[in-house]
Amino acid sequence: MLDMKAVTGRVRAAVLGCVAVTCAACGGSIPQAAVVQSPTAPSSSGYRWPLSATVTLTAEGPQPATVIINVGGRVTFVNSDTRPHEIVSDPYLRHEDCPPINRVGFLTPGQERPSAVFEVVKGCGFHDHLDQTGVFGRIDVRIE
Amino acid sequence: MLSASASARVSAQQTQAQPEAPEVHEHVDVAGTLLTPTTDFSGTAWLPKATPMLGLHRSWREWDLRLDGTVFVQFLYEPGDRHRTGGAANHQLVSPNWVMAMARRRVGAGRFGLRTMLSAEPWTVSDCGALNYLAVGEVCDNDTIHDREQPHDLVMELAADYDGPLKGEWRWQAYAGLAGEPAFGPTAYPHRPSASINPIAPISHHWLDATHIAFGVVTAGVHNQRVKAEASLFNGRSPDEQRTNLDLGAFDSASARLSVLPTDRLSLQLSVAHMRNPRAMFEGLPNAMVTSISASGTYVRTFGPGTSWSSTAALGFSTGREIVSGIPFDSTNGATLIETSMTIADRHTVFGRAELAAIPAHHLHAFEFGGENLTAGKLEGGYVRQFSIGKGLSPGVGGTAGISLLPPELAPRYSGSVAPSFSIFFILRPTRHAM
Repeated sequence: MLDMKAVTGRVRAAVLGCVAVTCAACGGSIPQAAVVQSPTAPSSSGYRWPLSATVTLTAEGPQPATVIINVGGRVTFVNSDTRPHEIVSDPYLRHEDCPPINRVGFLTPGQERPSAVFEVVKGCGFHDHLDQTGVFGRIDVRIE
Repeated sequence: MLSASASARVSAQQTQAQPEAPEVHEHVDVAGTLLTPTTDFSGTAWLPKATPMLGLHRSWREWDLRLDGTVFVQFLYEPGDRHRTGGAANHQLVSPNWVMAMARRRVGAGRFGLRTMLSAEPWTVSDCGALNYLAVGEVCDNDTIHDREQPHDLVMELAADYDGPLKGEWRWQAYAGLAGEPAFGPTAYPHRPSASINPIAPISHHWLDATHIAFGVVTAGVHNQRVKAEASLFNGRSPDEQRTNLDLGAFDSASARLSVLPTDRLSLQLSVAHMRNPRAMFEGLPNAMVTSISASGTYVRTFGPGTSWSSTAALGFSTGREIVSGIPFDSTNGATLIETSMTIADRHTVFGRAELAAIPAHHLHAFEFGGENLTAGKLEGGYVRQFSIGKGLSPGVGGTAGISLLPPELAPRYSGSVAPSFSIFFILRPTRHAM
């Protein structure tokens, strides 16, 4: 069933990508989920958006609080704080919006761990389950 | 009633004639079956016949009445910085408690019984449950409960039963309840003589006897004095977080249990259950069927009035649909338990428990491990000193100490691979009664 979900995600991403390219070519409107912005420079992966990003957890919060990656990418969280953090997907308690974030989980000070692969174009909120009011941020998963 | 009394006297004489036999409290005998057998404590499960019977026991007109219960007032302390459902406090004052009333009388050639079991834990166990490292199960605050034992519902049992003759020594039995216990697992831990004086719930509870509160159950079976085969249809969903109502539902789960009493001191059971949506977290996931298997044995030996030793060994597995972060998958997990309790002269009780569980990581909120099981253990021991104040009640004071043994994956969450737990408590419960 996990594989089915992954396949579904890839199909959905591919369909959204095709729709975005087709609509851009014909000058029509672009679906909200596939809206892209021009990055300052192309990534080395050949995709417009990077396939990896790093979020550093500090006493002041996540740095940066928002990252953009391409579909198929991962985000690595590094705990540079002096206390543990548990990074999970929104919403608080159910953590179901973006399951790849939940693979980060519990990080002791100094520990780092990547998310699972993001396979769906989506805006993903994350928070610290140990202190959901202190750490929160966003991962925008886009496609090009 | 005269014949019943005569039968009871004959029973008593037989017991006196066999000094080696375990202490068995014989009650009113009706057509070959006791109105309140010492085997009956929890649903239709069997304990050994030698189990000491606690509680107030009276006759009223045609009825045989029994009242049993336990009230703990307990201070729990689990040092560490573990974040858990219901808050991160490492100490808590709770009162686990329950009271059970049973009334039985002759009807036709058999016996008819009414029984209820109530708990005030919805009001006396706060913050989603009592601190208990590695305990998992049920929901609270829209989250799955972990590292706490959830409060029991106000109505734990509201049931009726009938036991009638079939052929020869064989009898048939029917049990039905708006709240009750299907034919699965060992006698529930609050009633097991090896566990009943320990206020800490076993972490294996949700593999072994978590079905002891099912909101809607019917059971039918046949038995003689040594063997019972029974089957249940029931509502398999575990109670929700609204603890004061009856969470009635479709009878879409089934179970079967074979119980054997090889001797008066030993009870064995093997059971299987096929349950639909047993965990509330499966909300919206159709056909979430879980199959559970349980095997257990309980041994009770008495050494004279007030002195007894009881032990239970149990094993349980569950396999079925789990869901992590909205993604369903198949999972097999389980737990095993060994527990023992020794009471001396109705005054001193020492008890211990060892458990090993393969717990789905997400049950402990360790989502980074996806659908993996994490193997953890727990060792626990305690002592209770009871006093006699007459009037059938026995207060006592006691304490427990335990350690949770954690795998490397979980150790950082519990501030180390060994997480200690402590408690001190007051207990009030009925005295053992001799008939």
